Amino acid sequence: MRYVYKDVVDKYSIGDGTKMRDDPIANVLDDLLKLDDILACMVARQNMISVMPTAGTDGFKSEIHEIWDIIHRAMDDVFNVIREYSQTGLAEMEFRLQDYEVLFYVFHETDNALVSIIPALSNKGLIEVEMENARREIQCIIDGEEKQKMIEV
Amino acid sequence: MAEGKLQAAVGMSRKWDAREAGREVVRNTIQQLNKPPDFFLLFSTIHYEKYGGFQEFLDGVWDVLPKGTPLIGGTVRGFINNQGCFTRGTTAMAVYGSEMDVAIGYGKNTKRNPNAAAHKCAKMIKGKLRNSKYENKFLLNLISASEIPDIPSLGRKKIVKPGLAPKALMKMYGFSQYVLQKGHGRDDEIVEEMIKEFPDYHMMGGGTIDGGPGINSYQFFNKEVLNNSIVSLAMNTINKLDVLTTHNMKKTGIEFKITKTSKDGRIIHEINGKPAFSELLRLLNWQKEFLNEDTWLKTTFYFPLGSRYLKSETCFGPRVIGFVLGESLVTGFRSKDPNASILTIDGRSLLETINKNLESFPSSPEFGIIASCTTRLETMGDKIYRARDRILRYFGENPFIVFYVGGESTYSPEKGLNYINMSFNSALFWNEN
Repeated sequence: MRYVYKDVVDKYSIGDGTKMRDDPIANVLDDLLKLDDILACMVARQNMISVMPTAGTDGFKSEIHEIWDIIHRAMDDVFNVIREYSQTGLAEMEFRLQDYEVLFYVFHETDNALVSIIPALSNKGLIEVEMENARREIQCIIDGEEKQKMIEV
Repeated sequence: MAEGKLQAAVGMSRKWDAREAGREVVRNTIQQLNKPPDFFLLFSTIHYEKYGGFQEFLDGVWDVLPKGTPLIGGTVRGFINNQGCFTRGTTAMAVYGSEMDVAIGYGKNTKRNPNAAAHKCAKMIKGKLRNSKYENKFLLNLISASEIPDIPSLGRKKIVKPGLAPKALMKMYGFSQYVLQKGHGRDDEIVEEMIKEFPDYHMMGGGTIDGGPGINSYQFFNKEVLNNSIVSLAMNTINKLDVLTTHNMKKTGIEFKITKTSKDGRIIHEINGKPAFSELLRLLNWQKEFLNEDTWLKTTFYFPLGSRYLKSETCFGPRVIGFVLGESLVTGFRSKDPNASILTIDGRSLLETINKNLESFPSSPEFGIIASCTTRLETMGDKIYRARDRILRYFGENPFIVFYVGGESTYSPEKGLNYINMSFNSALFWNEN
């Protein structure tokens, strides 16, 4: 099942995280990125950003660019933990780096997560609600694709 | 959707464009009814301010909504409905009742002259319901909530540091409150006036707010977008209804005396005979630096004061500190009780509040309107879905909206007024049999 999942996410990526045409997951990310306090967002797993918003990193809020490299490296370390524990129910993780927080909403029993970077002092409760909505929407897209794939097989 | 004599439906839109969202929320809502609605309640997050504006949003609503449908609404921090939990978008409830009379009203300049606003609103409603024969009566009041004061030369801040003479600071705050209408909402005063006007009604109230900064909020009245106003909907109906406030906050054990307040009891100048802000920080064991514009949300809202509303024997509950002016604390409602404490709550108790509230009603509702404090939403974050699960267990498929506001209340002739902060307030409606 995990292989199928990876397949579905990869279908929408071309390795560097840029979007293929008509990518419904990227559309969800585009919506999320419109929120003022979402500075960057993506679907990722260790060493790979699977899906970016339509504009790629150019769509990220400009303040994130100077810290993006270090955050990106730190994210990869967090994915070690996600990979280790996602099968046992790990659903969310977060860390704070300088003035930013990075939220990881793990997709059910996978090593993939919806990731967003927000200001450390933002109104996180409100953002969390929309992160959860985005996770559910993406999960639905993935589940639909998986179902289709299994029917075809 | 509820069938039969009473039909209610909830819809929503997540579109970003104001006009399109306005159209979609109406379409999604009224298509579930098989009669034109008798009224339409509309709630939106603040986002449309930047994506076309609220006039465009309302114009979109009226592109689809049947002409003449009474409409009120306003901006909220988020909402829950049958479809999910959201901090962006718009939701609406449309209701048709074969035996129901409806009237709406509004009053402006609530922060400057709340009594006049309430009277104007009440007059509009009374005129339309003069001949109504139904005994069960409900009034929904949506009132512009507190907004960050705009102090001349200091700007808009939640915390104005000590420095100016207290009297000078209060004078400048008065300018912000009465001239600019930036300050406390005075919604408690408005609700009291509405109770004087409609003592035999059940009421629920909520303060319209923005997405967090406390800069601006909007109220909707038919085709008009308003600021600093009350908009009300009155419903006289054959259907049964009731209202209830619950909060479930507990005392921390930190108790103190409020020794000096403003004349109306809203602004606390001294605690335990000492300057209020410094004494509150000492009681909480907080450093002054701990509390600033950025940390406001994560500090004061988790430790509200516990006070009685004015001199009420029955209404005791959380009281949010809205902003700090020098050493003075501007709070969410007026209290004349010198005895106060610090309250707190945990996640489990936040959820149990919902059960305590909804399970006390005698019948399953046909539909429900719930006003809840935004701090409950902001505290629970994505765990708000657990709150929704509990509400769904009670409502089943019947429509409901929980809208998140600042300053909420209920009133019934039997239970009196409950005006507190950080609470869960329901108004439920069910068929007679």
